[in-house]
Amino acid sequence: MTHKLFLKRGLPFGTKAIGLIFIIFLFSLFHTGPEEAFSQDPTRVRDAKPGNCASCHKEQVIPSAHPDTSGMNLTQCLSCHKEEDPKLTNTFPLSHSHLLSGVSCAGCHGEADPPEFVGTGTCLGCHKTEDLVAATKDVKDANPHDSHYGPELDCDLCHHAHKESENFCNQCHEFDFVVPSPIVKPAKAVKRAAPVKDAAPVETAPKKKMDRAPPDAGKPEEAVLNCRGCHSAPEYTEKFDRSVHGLLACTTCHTGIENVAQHMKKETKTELTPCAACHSAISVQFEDDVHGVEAKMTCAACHTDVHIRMAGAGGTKAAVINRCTTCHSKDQYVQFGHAKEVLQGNEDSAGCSDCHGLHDIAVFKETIEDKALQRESFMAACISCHDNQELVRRNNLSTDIVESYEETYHGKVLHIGFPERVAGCADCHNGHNILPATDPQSTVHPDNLIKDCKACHSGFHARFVKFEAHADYSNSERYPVLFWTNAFMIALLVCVFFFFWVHSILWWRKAYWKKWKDRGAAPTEENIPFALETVLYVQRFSWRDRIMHILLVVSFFLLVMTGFPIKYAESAWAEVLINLMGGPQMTGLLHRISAIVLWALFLYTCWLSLKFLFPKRQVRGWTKRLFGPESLFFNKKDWEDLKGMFRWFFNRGEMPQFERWTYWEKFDFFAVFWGMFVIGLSGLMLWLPELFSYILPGWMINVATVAHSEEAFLAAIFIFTVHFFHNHLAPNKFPMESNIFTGRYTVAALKEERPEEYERMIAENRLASLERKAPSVPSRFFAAFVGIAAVLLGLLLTVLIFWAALFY
Amino acid sequence: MNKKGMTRRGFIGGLGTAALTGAGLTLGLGLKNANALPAPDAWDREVDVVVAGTGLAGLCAAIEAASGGAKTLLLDAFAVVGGNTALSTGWFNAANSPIQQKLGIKDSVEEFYKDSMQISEDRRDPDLTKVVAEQSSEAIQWLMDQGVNFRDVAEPAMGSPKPRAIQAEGYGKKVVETLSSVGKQKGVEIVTRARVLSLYRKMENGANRVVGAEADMNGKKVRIGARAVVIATGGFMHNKKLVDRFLPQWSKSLVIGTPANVGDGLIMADVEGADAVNLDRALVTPTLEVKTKTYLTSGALSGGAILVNENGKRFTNELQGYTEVSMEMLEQEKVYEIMVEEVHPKVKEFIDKGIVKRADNAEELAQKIGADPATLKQTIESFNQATESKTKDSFGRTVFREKLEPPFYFMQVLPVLLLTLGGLKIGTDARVLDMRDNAVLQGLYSAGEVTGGYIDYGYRTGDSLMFCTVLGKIAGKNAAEETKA
Repeated sequence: MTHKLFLKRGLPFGTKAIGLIFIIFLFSLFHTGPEEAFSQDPTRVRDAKPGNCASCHKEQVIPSAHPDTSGMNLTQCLSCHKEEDPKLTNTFPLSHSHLLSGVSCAGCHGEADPPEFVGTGTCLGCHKTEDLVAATKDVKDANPHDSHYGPELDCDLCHHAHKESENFCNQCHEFDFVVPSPIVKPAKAVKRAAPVKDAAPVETAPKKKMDRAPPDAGKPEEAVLNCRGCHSAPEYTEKFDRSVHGLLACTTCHTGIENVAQHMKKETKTELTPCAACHSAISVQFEDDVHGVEAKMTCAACHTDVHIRMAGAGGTKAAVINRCTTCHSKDQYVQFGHAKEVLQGNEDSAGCSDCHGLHDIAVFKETIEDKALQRESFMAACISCHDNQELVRRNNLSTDIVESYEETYHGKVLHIGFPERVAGCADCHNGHNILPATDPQSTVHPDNLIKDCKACHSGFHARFVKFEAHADYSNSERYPVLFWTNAFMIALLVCVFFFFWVHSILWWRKAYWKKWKDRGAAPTEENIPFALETVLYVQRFSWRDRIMHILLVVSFFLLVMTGFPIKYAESAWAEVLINLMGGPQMTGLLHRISAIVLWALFLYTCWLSLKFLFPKRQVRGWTKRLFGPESLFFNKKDWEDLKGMFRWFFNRGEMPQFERWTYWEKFDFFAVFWGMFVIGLSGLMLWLPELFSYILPGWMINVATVAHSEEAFLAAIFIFTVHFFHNHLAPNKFPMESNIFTGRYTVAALKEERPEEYERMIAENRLASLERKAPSVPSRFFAAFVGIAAVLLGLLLTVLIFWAALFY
Repeated sequence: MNKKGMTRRGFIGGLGTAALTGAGLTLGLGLKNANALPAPDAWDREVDVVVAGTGLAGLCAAIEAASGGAKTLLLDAFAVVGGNTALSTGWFNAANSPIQQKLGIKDSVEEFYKDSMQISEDRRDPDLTKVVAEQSSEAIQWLMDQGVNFRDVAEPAMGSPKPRAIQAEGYGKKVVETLSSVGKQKGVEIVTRARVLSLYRKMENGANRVVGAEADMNGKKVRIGARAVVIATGGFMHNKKLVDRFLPQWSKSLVIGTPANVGDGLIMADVEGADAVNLDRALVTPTLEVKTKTYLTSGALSGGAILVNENGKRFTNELQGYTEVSMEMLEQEKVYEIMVEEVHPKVKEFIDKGIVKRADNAEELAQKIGADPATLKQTIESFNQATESKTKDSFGRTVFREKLEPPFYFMQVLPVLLLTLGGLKIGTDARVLDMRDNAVLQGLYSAGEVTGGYIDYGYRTGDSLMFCTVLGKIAGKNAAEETKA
């Protein structure tokens, strides 16, 4: 529901650019279809509702000033349109007068599909020939129902059900009478005619006091003349004639006056025709309106001018405000802000009804659900104007107020379907008397902000309110820290991806090119490993390492799958994924649990690193250990290896002889350190913003949001592309390197991948101690299963992320 | 008829006169594509007999065809069944019918034949006249058998020395209603808004035969296969082109009658080489109200109504005969019929419906018709004098009844074309004939207003419906026979 309210948004340019490199060619595959031809002919809709023109007609068929016809019945039509009014009767296909009289399409055509043929026999099922003859006996010139052809002609000669009727007689004659006059009611009991489904005119006139059919207008002129003998005030005479109701007779609304003499003696009780008799659509709305439900008010409470109301009067926002403030406090609601603007003549500004509605003002209860509903419905009203670029420019308002809100945690969480948990517009800006933040009376003036925040947050330091609820990353002047954080993150993303994607592509090219060149070549001594080495296994990872990696994989995927739906709250898959995770609440919980697991892994790794550097608290020799071959820290050899790799990529040399950890493996390791610093800390800040306000100003939450979001993108995409390439897609690894799960690999693999380590082990005479049995079948199966599943899931998520980044 | 079936086309082919094209020898309607359609490979539907036109002739033909065992399809171009018959007052001209017998009127076939020939100065087709005279009584009996009721009245209408005009109850529309329900009972399928456009032919045993017809049914072209076709499509009064060509003297008169009478049958048979007779004859009556196009019977004139022109002057003997009065009316700029209520019972109805307007004195009348009051007053006075003295007036009028005294009623009138009298030449077996009196196509019959020959000068009340009944029946019977061959 919410995501319809928000405009689709994209990411900052940098992220988009990265994605673009990936799938730019896809754009050429998209094209838009031709616009559908606009049909002018009405389409016959089987269960069309009476008076609902739009259900069949695409274009406007009645004047726009005409009152809403939905739910009307023929009697109501005829209370304004005189019986001989050619506008109604001459151009009105018979199907319309039937629908408006409660005879549905099925009433004549039956329920069958395709509909049954309707002939004169069907008509005569309800209309008696004698009655028709009698009804037109006084028609001038000739009785069309008893002509020289007799009374039993085919009805369809004149009366067409689905097009304008015609005067068949006038092929030869020139008769003036109008065809058809839709006032002849069937004399016999209606045999077949089923009432219109759920919208029979009588049924739509709702509830007790309104289910009475409105009185027949009778002969308005005479009735009016009688009344005006006494009721001669202008509002009942000339003003009334000019009013929107001027076509009606007094007795159309004031019923029960059978005898004027009795009426004058006040012996009879006059009743009022409910407004709903004609204004049924509005009255249906009003049934749920707060004024009707809570205050039990009637139409006349606000519409005191029914006798003099002119067409178009009361339509202005100012008129609505003035009407509402006859009851509602002016000071409380319309002193400043929107209403004041309206009253000063700015029609762009919002009047009461723009946000609250006119006859459908909702009733909100004090429940969480209703609060959320209220928040959403009013936000939709705010957004409808404040996101209208033309309107905000015209009124010198901020152009990105909606967009910037949606970039914040509030906006994203609300968007994903959690309106009960976060602040919407009115939570800070208040509903009425909205003023700019610079005004000391404004609820969003810095002095008043604490009160706003306190409505939801508690236990924060005063600097908490420095949070920017409408932060704009692209505005370097107003939000320099935010701007530069964002810029830095994007630069980081671009650099990392540029380097590693190029690195991977070159590697791929080189490896396959080599394979291609060597195809069919006789095996040389170099490239044939000793048979023994292919079955001898050595340990690479301990149990501890393997379990840590599995925990890392699980927590990482969970974090991605629970975090990215918030990041791309507008995307098509966000809601799906959230629901898959068990709803918004569960998603949040999983994200935090996974974060704790990751934090634990990180801290444990730190502990292990310290233990590695300072074994048995021995400090001496730590630099040697730090830069030594077993260390994951970068050293000089990595730089040489890097250069060597690039030489190899371009056929300028052999592949470098690697040690236990290659430089890209070290990068993976340090990426987690860096990542945990950025993503972990910012995540904690977002989790406990109030607590952090004792250390950092509120705007750091904005910084944390940017950092958390962009770093998440970096981490996820790096793992799903670069890490996957190194361990799954690289030619010698495809489809996957399983030693992280099995813990062991062959001596041949060790020799090929890490020849220097092999040499070192031989030299240190450690190889034998590392020798292990071949991995068991279950452990291989487990490795394959988890590995492949992780790869597939990762690639799927990559597609989803790029999809969202580029198209939302 | 010539059973060898020497068709006109065969005849021309024998002569080898290629120059004599179809259009050259026929009515000269100027049809470019004067060729019947060759039979198609497949039919959309097949019946035994197609009858085109649901007037009296068509209904009689269809009933007789169905009675003869033929699967019959009765089509009408108009949306309403009945053609001009439905609009008629239902008079039949018959001798010795059960009605006359009941009324004790002595008459004979020979007298009927003789009178018919005499009134037309021997211009009627003697063979057709004889057939109608012989079968008129039988035809009335047949209609009564079908359920048509007649009033017990016989009138010596219009120059007939014997009371031969009898009237069906409920006018023509009741006749049509009765006969169409009889037709339906007998299995005739009646389709309206189905206009027969052309005939299909095929060479069979050395002779051309009609094998079907193409009809426009509700906008769709339908090819109907049939062993026989009866053309009973009515006259051509609503075909302005044909009226201008053949009845130029009436091209300014108004036209009433069923709008589908546009000469379809005439044209489709002409294409086949049919001959036509008396195309320059029409039945025109003088007094149709111009705006509502409602016809006031000429009985009003007999009752004392007069016709005046835009100057308020009479210009003719109103009772000298339809044709002559109508011709004189067309010479005037405008013609008004002036009457009092008493001239005919129908006038009351016209007053109620507001078709005739009222004027309380001669001045008001003059003002309303735009004439000089003095002239109009003079006209009325001299007519009233003649009425009183019952002497022949200056226009030769001898029949008077009511005097013209206020309040006056008046309406603007124009002559109106009621029927076209000429049409296809047919034989006594209702076959459509060519110029050498040979059948145009085997299996092609025609009856009713679309045919000519029976009525020429001297139209008598009831002539038309009787002709339709007799020849319609013959056509239907013979068409049914074709399907047995």
